[in-house]
Amino acid sequence: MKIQHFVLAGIAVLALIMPVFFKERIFLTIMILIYFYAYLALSWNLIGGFGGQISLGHGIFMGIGSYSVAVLFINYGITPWIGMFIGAILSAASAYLIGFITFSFKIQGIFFVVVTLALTQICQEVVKQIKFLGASEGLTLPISMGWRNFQFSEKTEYYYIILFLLIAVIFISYYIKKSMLGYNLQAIRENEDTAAASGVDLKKNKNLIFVLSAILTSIGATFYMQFTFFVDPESTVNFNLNIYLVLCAVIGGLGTIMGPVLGATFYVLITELLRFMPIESQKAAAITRIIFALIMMYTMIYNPKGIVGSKIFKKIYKKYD
Amino acid sequence: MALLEVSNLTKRFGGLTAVSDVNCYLDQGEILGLIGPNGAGKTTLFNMISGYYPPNSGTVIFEGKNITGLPPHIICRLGIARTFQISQPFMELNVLENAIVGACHYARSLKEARKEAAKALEIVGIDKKSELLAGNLSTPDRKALEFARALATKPKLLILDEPAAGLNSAEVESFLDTVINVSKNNKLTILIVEHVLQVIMRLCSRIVVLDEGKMIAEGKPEDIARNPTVITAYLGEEYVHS
Repeated sequence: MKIQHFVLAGIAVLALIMPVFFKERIFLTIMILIYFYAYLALSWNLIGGFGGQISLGHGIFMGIGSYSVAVLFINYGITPWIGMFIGAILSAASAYLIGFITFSFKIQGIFFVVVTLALTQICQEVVKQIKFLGASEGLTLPISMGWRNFQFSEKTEYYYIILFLLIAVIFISYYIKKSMLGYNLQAIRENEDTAAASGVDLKKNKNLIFVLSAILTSIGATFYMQFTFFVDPESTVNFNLNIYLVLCAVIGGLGTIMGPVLGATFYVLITELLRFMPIESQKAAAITRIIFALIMMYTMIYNPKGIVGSKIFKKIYKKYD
Repeated sequence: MALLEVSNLTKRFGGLTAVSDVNCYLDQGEILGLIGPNGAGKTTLFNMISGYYPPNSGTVIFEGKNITGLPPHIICRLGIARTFQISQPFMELNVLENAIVGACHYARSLKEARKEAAKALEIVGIDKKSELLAGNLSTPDRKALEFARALATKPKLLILDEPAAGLNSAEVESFLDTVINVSKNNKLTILIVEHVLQVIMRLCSRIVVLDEGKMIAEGKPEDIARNPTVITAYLGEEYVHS
């Protein structure tokens, strides 16, 4: 146990001092993206991994988190910090509603996947029609630097904010896993009938973790909005992001805490690597999809527990035990 | 007042009436046996009592409260625990953790849940195996775990679904001892669905017999064993001796 703690502490210190030594934008940007995707993957992992309900609806919460801050800031000058809070509440309410309806039906699993997917598509189309939300062109934030407006010209502040969020979600995941909620969720995942016979309230527990996941995703979306200054239906509320989140978690190790982090790192590194190669962006996007589809298939067949469950990983882990 | 009162309980699946107008009751502290040939409706009957199927008509009253049609987790919290015929533990959790899940609905903290779970494991006798993964257990151990998990929920009424299935006679004996101990020490009322006669005869003070969804007999074990209707249902008319 001790060695693992030292390693973790070492990584944390390294992460904290990194911006001091590596000031190149490209490096910080990559780290920010890694932290961001890891954060999103872990947030999704709460419902997908811990809760065992594969949600393809997280694009909705991404959208709410982004559009809330954008609309409130652009039209009313409300600081994104408050916008973030409002976005989180709206996401929580949406998740609760979706959960309430879907978890009340005894048909679970695939029904939930399909419903969340359909809802994402519907939301995407609806947003495209609403001028107030920028329709297909999306919304761009007016530049107005400063902490109050959650906008920074340097990457450093963004780096520390997302690092903080990532560490927070890691702690939240860990805490839940070791709590009664964690046990209940694992019971639900393993066998719903036995769980119900043991007194576990299926609907309440699933809904609770779904709402939590939605809130965290929404907050992450706010961060991303403030980082990229832009939101539109295609890139934010979209299907692809949904899938990649799931991929990160699954390839890394569904239900674990290190898994989504590893999966996200993997994902960002590959996409960034492709960016450096002399390939047009269309082809690069297609190649990314093919690569990940193949990795996903490989994972499902040979490595269902993800990187964390693989033999190589376990060997490395054992060396330090 | 009986602890559990089942009145006119009926369940139809499309054109098939699995349980038809069944009435029975359980007094506090009793061990009631529910027997009948395969397909008689025993499992359906008790899936209705434990909340897995809503009945088409009839009522289930527990401790004076109408619990008909309530969902399984509420029924568990009201004090009725059940085991599954084909034991379905939480495979990736270890033995202790399986029992902890049972304690979560009333425990105020994880520490308390862990304590109660450990107690349940001890009563059943698998506390030495608490670190083992449920998925790696042998059949008798899995059944013991099933039992412990149900006990960990602190039930007043325990329904056991063919707990002796798959056990050899030595294992059945040891299981019987555990059940008798548990029911005496914890003042539990038990409803047991079983095919293995050894279990029924030794444990039950009273037996209810189902055949084709209807209750065909009820009484003391010795009387049931001689009851011609029961013998006909199981073995056919030729076996009825005078």
